[in-house]
Amino acid sequence: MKRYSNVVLFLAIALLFGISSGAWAATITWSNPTTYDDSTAIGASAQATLTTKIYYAATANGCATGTLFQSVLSGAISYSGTLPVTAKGSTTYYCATSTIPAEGQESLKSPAVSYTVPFVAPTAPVLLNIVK
Amino acid sequence: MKRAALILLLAVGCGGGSAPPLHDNAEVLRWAQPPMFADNTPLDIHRDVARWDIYCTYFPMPVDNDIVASVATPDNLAFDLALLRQYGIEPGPDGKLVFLRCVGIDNQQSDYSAPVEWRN
Repeated sequence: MKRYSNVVLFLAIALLFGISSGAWAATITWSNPTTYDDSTAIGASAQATLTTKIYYAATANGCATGTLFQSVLSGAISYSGTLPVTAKGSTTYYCATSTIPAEGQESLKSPAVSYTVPFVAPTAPVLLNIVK
Repeated sequence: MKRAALILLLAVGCGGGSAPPLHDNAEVLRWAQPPMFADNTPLDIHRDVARWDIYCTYFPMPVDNDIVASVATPDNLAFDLALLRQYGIEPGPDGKLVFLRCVGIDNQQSDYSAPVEWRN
């Protein structure tokens, strides 16, 4: 069985908004592979079924054995939703694989990309009054 | 330099969110916590806030050197300005403006609050 060439994971991570403490929403985009490892083309119909699995880890090297947090189906090339990051200032690394469900074999993981949650200042407090 | 007198109050009052104990001459500055970070993520004062910085000046635009006190108990939303008088910091005959900033645990500072006037 042929394996797909690595997914080219741009993982252009665009932070949309923080949706709750410890959970951050973002859009991750990538390009799907068009060939197998042996350079033969992946047919259009097969490409339309591609599943992209997105993994994360605390280090770039750790992504090779990272934790799966999202599977994106049907050849889609983006994910918008919650990222598994924990705190402002923390960096998380992401990588992905491609699988054609009918064939079942998962590609090697893409190179990792990182996202660091920026530090952000609080909004200003509100002074109420001085009580004597 | 009276203005440089920075009072670091580690425990002004006790108990979560309670006002400091009042005495006869208390002048208690009270404030409301900011609910959000600048990116609209929720702010939890117990987890995210390091301290409150209090500024006092005659002028409507405070500067960093106008800081007169820091309240290092994030859940304390009040400060007795009368404590500053022993350091020569007082409103004087014309009154002064008091401002507040919230400082996060990563030392990110909020904008200045709108002022309140401190008068004798």
